[in-house]
Amino acid sequence: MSATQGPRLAQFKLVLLGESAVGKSSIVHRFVKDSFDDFRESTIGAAFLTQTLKINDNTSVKFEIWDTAGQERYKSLAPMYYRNANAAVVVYDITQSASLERAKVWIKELQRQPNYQDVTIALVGNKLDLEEERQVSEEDAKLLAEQEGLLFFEVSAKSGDGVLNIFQEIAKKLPVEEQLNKIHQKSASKVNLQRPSTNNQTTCCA
Amino acid sequence: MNPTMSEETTQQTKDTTTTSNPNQSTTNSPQNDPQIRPRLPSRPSITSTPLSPLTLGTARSLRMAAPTTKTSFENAGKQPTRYSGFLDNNSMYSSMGLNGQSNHDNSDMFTIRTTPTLTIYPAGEDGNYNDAESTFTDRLEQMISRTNSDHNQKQAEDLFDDLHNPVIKDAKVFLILSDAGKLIYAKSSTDDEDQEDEDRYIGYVGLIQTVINSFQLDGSNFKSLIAGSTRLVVMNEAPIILVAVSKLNESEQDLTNQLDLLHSFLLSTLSKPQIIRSFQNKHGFDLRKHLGRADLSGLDALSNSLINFDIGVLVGALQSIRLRKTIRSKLNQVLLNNKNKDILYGLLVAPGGKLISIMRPKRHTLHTTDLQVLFSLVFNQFKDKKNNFDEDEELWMPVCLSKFNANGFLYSFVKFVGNFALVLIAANKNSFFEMRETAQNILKDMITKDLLAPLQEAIRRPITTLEIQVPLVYHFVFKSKKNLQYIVPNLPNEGNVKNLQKYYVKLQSSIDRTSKISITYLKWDSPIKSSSFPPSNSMTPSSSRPPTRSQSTISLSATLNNMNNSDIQDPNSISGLAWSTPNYELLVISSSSGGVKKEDLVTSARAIVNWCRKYEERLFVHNGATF
Ligand SMILES: Nc1nc2c(ncn2[C@@H]2O[C@H](COP(=O)(O)OP(=O)(O)OP(=O)(O)O)[C@@H](O)[C@H]2O)c(=O)[nH]1
Ligand SMILES: [Mg+2]
Repeated sequence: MSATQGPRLAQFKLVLLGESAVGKSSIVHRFVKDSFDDFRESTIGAAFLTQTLKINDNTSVKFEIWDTAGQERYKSLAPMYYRNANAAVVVYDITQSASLERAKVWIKELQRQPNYQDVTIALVGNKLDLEEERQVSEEDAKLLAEQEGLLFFEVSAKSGDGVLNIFQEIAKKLPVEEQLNKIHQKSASKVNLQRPSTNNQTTCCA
Repeated sequence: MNPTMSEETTQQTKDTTTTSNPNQSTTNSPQNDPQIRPRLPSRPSITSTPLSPLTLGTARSLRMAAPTTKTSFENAGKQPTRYSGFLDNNSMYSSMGLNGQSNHDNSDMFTIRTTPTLTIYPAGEDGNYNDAESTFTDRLEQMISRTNSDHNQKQAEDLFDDLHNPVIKDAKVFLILSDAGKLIYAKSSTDDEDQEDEDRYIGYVGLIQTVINSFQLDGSNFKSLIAGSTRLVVMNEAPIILVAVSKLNESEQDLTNQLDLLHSFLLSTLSKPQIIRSFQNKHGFDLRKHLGRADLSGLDALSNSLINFDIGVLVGALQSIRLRKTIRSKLNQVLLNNKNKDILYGLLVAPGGKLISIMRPKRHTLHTTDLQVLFSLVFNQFKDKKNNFDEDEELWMPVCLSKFNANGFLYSFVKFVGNFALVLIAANKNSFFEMRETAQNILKDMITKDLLAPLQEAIRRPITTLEIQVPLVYHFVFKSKKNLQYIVPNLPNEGNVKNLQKYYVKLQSSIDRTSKISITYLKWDSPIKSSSFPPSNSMTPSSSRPPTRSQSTISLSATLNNMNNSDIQDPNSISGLAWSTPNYELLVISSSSGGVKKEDLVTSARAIVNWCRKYEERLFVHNGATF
């Protein structure tokens, strides 16, 4: 059977991690709703959102996003969200050097996961619009990302700069074709299982 | 008794066999059928637990005095006030003596006391009436230190005058501190929104430490203290101490309930063991550091709603949404059909924490306070969104419902649909996707059964006094005791319920809880005068002379004499009725030229009761969807 020309949809789980107030929720909302809220409430527990991104004419990636709470108190819940994730976005605030330290801890934690090699990780410096308050230099963070083999971006959820790009670049790294083929095989085998061979004769061999 | 108000108990049928414990809070209702009735809420009882050792403050002995029955001394006519009509925004504050125009009525007059109230009698001299910089703290501290020396009645009276001084500017303050005396959180009615000025609370903390310490060493349980028009209530939830300071004539029980709600909120994201563990680990642990943005904004939202008057907290019930019976049962059916094994509770809630429907196990209900906390958490996550909730976003929030279990967390799935929220509560933290699927199915069914439109319509459409045909009634609160829910009509002309606080607080506390049936009629001879609420820093100190006895009261005429304005012809008068039976509680406020006679108000009240009982199944969530 050859692939149909209809729209193809691959689904991936993505988790956002990072210290409280670095702008995880703001980045997600910029991506999902293209909106920004100056008075966003700090997340309690976690929020779940989805967004579909078209990566070429007939292929889309649907992100299932866990926007986690950055407060230390919720730390113990984090594994629940990153355990099955295909991608992780670790966010820091370029105006708070402590938030980069926290980001490093998250990266370490992700690296301890058994499926670490299969997870696409991006290090994201947010609040680029506050350039004058910058505490973390782009070079330092970039270097860190390179050393750890992570994607790296600087963005502003407020202005929207670079946000969409994060997800586009992640989508490029994700095993889209692999997943689509798997789905294809699965559904193909399903069809075979569900259709007794007697039917095949009338449809295929007429 | 303060002559601005007359009180009359028109009917009090005592029934000794069913007399309720006076310590019982208003939420305690008859439990006819323990299987399906809401759990008896165990509101904090007034008899408090012993205080833990405190580390700060000097021991000072305070004398326990018999509750005072003296009239309050008012600074009548110090400042000319503009008469700005009935129930305007500022009248509440002005009535509490914040304008130097304190014509509040002393709540001691007939609040039903549940425990002996401590009244501090001062001794020593005081000539500081004109000290504008003097803070409330200073005053009380002076007062406390003065108790060390000999005192006499005259000086005690001076103190009472002193406490009516407008420099005591906070109409209401909440403080949360550690039992080591560290301030964890503070909120006052005069807080500047943009300016976080916690320093000014530091004095309060020292004061409260001192007070608590004194009482501790005295072997007495410090719960509540009245100093003039100010009531101070302390709730000891070691290692946390919660304090309310109020000049709004709220009763000890009112304030205790409010503190309990704040404490429950604090527990909701931390849980009891976490708090205790944190304090044990590090001596002098600073809980403040562990309060994140979410906690602070949640505490702010909750304490602001308490400061701005929350009827639900006053009467200890949830507001419900009116729905036709057929819609209710269809809704219940949809919920039950989709129930999954992990769901403990399912709730449909409208903004403001109004209950639409509940799904629950037959034998379990949730405590009103837990639900108030949960709803506050849920809607605060979206508080700037007005009614445009984010339908794409689903929340998975760990919540400690402390009355349910203070030691553990439950997990709440939250999804907004149009103008209401669907909340599914589970014990299993890994059940998000099950909950999500259930929620999707519930919504699908609601759409196929055409339930969404009537629901959204019901949320938008308020109850009005017009449809009940009680023209004399300005506003009312009807609480169904067995359902622990209440309804209120919408306020005419975008009125602010804050302006009704004074009346409702008084009406509510006038209920005789030792009787099965209690009806109280109250009449306020004059609506509250008001000038615009002065900013706290421009508060004019009262004149240097202490107020004299002849100025001790503000009657309508006294006030009118002191005003030059011409817009003083408003002859409105406010009367109110509090009517309590084992099944319901009704508070009615009426405003009409010359006042409304008791008989007429009783007739109106009866009409409301009949209407509410007739439509009971529409107005309240009865058993909900039980499984
Ligand atoms: N100037 C600026 N402010 C931002 C930006 N992104 C977020 N913020 C602000 O930073 C604050 C925190 O943003 P959130 O998105 O709530 O942060 P969070 O990481 O989700 O925080 P938690 O939910 O507590 O973990 C909010 O007041 C945002 O308005 C940005 O790009 N620029
Ligand atoms: Mg967030």
